[in-house]
Amino acid sequence: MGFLAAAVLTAGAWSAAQEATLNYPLSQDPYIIDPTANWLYEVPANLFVPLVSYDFVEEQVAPAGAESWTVSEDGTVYTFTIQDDWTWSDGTPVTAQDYANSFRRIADPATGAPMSYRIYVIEGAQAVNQGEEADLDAIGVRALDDRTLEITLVGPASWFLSSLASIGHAIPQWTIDEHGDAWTQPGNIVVNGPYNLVELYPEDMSVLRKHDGYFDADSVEIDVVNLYVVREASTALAMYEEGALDTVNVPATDLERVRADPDLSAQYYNGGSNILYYYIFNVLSEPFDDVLVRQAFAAALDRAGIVDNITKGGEIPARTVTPPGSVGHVPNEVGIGIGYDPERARELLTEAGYPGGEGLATVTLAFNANENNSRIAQAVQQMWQRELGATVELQAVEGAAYSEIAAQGAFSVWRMGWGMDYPDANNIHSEMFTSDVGSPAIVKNDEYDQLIRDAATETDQALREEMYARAETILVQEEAGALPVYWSAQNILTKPHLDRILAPTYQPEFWKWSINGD
Amino acid sequence: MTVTILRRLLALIPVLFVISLVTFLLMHSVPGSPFSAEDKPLPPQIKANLEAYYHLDEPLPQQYLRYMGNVLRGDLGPSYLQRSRSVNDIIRDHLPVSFQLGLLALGFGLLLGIPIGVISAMRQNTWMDYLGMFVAIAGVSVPAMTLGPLLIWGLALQLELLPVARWGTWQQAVMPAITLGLGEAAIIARLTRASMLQVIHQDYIRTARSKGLAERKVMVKHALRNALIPVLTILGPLFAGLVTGSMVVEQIFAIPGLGRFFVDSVGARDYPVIMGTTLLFAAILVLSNLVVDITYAIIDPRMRTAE
Repeated sequence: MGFLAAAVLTAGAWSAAQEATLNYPLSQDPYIIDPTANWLYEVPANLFVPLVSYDFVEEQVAPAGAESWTVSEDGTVYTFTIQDDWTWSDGTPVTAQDYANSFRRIADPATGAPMSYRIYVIEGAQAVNQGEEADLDAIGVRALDDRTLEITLVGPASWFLSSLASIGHAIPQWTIDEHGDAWTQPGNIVVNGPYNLVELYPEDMSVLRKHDGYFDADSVEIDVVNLYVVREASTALAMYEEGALDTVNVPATDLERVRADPDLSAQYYNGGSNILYYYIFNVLSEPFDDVLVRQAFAAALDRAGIVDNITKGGEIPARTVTPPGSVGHVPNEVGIGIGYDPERARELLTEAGYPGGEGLATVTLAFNANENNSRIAQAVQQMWQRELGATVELQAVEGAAYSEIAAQGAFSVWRMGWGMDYPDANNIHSEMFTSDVGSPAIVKNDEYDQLIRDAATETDQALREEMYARAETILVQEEAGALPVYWSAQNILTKPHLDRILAPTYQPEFWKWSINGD
Repeated sequence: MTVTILRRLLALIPVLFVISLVTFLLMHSVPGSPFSAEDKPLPPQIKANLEAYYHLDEPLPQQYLRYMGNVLRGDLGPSYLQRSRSVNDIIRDHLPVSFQLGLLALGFGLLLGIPIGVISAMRQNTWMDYLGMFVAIAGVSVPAMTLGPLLIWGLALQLELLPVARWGTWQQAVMPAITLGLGEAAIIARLTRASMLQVIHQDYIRTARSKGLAERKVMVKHALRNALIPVLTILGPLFAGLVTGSMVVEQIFAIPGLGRFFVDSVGARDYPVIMGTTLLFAAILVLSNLVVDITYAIIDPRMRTAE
């Protein structure tokens, strides 16, 4: 019987053949749709509207929920004018207060929003979030009238505006008050973005339908988006080849076949992304408590070998952490960071007191269990054994608790990744590497910490770039606490009838895509 | 018979209680918090907020009592990972899918396994026996991770006979059922063969033959019926394993089943989901064994009077 029900549901998703329909895969279930309760993912990004967006083609902040804004002379007060002629899906007009409610809900400790620390730069937000201040009115976000929102910061922060592209989406407080955590279920949910969530079958599929109350609804071309949860990348590719999906990411194992195939290669796109793949050395225990050993292992890493022979997806070898396309990115050509130099690596190791790797403690190299990480780890293991005579044991770890166990010092060196939330080096440095992050096993350096704090409030962009270059020098070279490996690439297939944005965006923006020739 | 069933059902309660306690202690003794994304360990204060939200800041005994109190009221708690869904929602949405998949796989396993086992036994040490056992060994040896994509490539992409993935139509069920059931078919075939070989050398079979019964009748009516008892015995755990151990197959075919919750919840330290799925697994195991015991009574008259 369940069988039959499921069959009917599937048929429903395919109805309405006259409408422009997009079939898109999600690599995981859209667990949390509330944009104030989690980091941003595909579904909430298409249902709710942040104050601003980030245009990756022009590389600048663009209007979204706010049609314009001004910044006070001292860089601490932002005043936004909210879009006119815009309603929630229940007909209520969208107001500045809906945005103020978003920041209040994120800061409210009762929400338990994991990314709430990202708004600590707003006056009062940190005190509220950490329970020192109980009054939500203490948060420096105020609706001056229906269309004017004022945000007051604790100090100038030139990265703040771009960070608003992925946090602070307006929310329908009345719906949340009515339904609690279940407010994002279809039927309950009220949206103000280009799409509404009309169907949701957990772990299976959800359906988005164009929302006519959206201020720019006229330019939204795709009427219906069917989102299918397909965890296995090779299955998603097979569904694409079958015609069940309109666009798909190509898994590394299929890259060569896709490039060689006359049909698929014409639909193939390869380009940059904003994700860093890296390792961190555990400075709490031998042998990486010694900076010389860290530098030696860094110099024995052949990034080009990994990118050319293992990942093969057009990744860029990374000597620094901040990905290209972000403020504070330091290109490899600048010469910061430790390049591949096995001779120098052996010298450093000898200097550290381990000639030829003699007496070196066994190194455990940990990674979150998946095929790509495993293949890269095996290559790194060979490099370190070959160049340094080190004994490297690999440890594949399952599950999300991995990063926390690792940060406590469970492994000698561990794999991490970072996808930028906004295009500014402050994002990766302040959230990953400073002492404030509170990961005991990551290297600590006072000058680095101070630089990151200062760069966050510095308004002179040229000076900021210099500060991040200096910070990178400390992080990946002098202290060698982090070992960047590569900046990821996008490998995408798109059916000829779909016109989609291929520049690296943080989330797919379905409202800007279109289907032609149907 | 009814008394036996009732007694077995009552015995389930202390079993589930002990399992809940052991699971609770084990999962809390493993390091790691439910509130850390794979790539972003959380600042301590934020973690504290989340832990307070879910009462994880309380002492363990209090947490356990709170949990068990809720379970007795039929509330298995929230999922930390999914926030707006409860463990009850998860089981309600995904168990039926895994149940269907498990039944289909078991059906496939029986339909393929028993004939292979019987033929192999009847034609012991002939090419048919060798072929049957070769298929059986291959079935156990080929992992779903290989067989699934192979079937997709062959049946869906090359021959275009079946859809690649997802769940809902009978066409979509074929490849997952084969992928999940092939290993079971192999186990069933080997067990059936061994059991048949034992039975067909017994005196009553010789008697049946000497009475002049047709070989076919001897095999099916006398030999197979007895030979199936050991096969029945393993069907309980086999079925429980199929329902709960289908993660890989569900992942390959994008099926919204329960399988991954058994595995992912542990890695994610999603405590209520770990507890809920573990208790569910225990209940399914005990209940499917009970069903098997009832089936014994149907197949073997001697067991109807026992107890």
